[in-house]
Amino acid sequence: MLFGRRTILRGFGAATIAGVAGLAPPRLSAATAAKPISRPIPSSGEAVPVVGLGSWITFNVGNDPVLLDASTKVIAAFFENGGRLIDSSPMYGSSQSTIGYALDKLGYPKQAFAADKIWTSFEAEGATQFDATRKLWGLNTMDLMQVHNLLSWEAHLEMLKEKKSAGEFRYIGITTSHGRRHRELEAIMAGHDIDFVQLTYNVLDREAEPRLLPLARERGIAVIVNRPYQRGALIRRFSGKPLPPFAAEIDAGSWPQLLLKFIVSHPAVTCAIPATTRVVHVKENLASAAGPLPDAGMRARIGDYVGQL
Amino acid sequence: MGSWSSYSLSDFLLFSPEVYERLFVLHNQDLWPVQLVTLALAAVVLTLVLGRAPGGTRAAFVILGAAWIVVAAVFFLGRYQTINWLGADIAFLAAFEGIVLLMLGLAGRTELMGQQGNRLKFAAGIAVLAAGLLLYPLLAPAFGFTIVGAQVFGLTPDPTAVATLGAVALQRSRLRFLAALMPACWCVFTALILWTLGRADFFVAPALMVVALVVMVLPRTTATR
Repeated sequence: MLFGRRTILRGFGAATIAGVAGLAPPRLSAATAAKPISRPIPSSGEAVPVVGLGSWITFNVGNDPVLLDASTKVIAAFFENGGRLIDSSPMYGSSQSTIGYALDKLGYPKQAFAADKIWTSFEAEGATQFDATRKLWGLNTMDLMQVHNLLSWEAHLEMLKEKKSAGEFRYIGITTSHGRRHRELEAIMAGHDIDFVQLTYNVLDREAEPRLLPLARERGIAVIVNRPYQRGALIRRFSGKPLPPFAAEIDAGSWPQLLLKFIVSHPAVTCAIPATTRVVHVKENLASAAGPLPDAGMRARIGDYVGQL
Repeated sequence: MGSWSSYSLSDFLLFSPEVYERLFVLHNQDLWPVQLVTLALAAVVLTLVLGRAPGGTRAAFVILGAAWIVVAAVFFLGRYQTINWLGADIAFLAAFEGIVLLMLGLAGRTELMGQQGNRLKFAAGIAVLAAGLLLYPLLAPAFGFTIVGAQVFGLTPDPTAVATLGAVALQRSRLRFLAALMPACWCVFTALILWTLGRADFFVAPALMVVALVVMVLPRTTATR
């Protein structure tokens, strides 16, 4: 993430304010838990931790000062525990401005990887929305810009390619969710020069496995996984049910950890982006990517076990 | 998975139950003690409608119209827009409703049915009106929420919509159907939001809406032999 002079100055001032407000910038001390493993972005080799942070619903808190500070604590914990990639969209209400508020309070941590989207049906609005997004994040340069849910993707992709060439952001991507429009997504992945693809993948939603994930590896496209817990539905579904005995072999002490390990252990997956409002969940998510991950054999066993529940 | 059938209501919900509840808490805290003024105006509206004097009902509709315009500007634009990008569009519709009611009031198209007609119709309309005007703030504690987050007539949409439905249900003019459109739509919309948020009070506004709509189509007088 690159900063302009104005942003850095704002960040410096904000750090002072944050200290007063009890929201000191994250301290990356040796006492912090083991760092999550990272994967390289194929197009550049830059490493990103396999667990990121989503913002759908969780950071749409309007201008509520209490919830803005609570969100800031979640984001601070995310960085403190080795996280980098935060993903948002203009579709997510005030989530972008909440992230901008938190980054400002935290002094714009240098490890932050800013991922956002273009979400509009109107071609002419794409560039304006990009500028609005940068302003809301408080950044001059974004890291990743994606076309949200393939909406008017032809026009937006062209616009984004121009802006990427101009250095206004670094990586270009396209997203879908809930397994929708996979054929169209596959055609875009095969026919366009993109760095990232974002899609839904978890132990029950595995439509991406046969074609999209192998294609991403073949084409050198990084994969961001959304809805890793189906917005919490998977956790609710399995809570109270026994973990498989072999979960201990990969240090998965809870269902969320096992479900997340299953996702990020797929070799094509670069990063999963669970969203949460709780610091303890952020830590748990990142911790699950710090220990051993299941191999192909255990992934199959996890799938079988879950299928029987 | 490519069809609309793959969507659920929760896919369209942008915020959490906590955020929605606190939206009203902050709204009330920021506006206090304006609630006392709007509740006083609510009592005035109820009194004027019960009195049914031509000038009184005109004034009542003007107050209802002004209430919608305040809700449009202060709630939908000033508050709701911060968590839902539809806020500005809904504010436009709410302001339009306010203008419709104001015009009805100023034009004198506010003649109401009387108690001497269908007593059941009159009583049910007044009950819906009173529920929106005065009883709605009590729903929050009744359903386990803080009174600080209560919805109040003239400042938040649910009681304003319900009260409007109660008033226009008693109106004689056919324009009552136009005036009922926006509040009825909001009652359905708010029910979907609350239901998706898992709130037990989701049924209140649509239930009162149904009563008001039935009142609207009931005959003004009971049949006599």
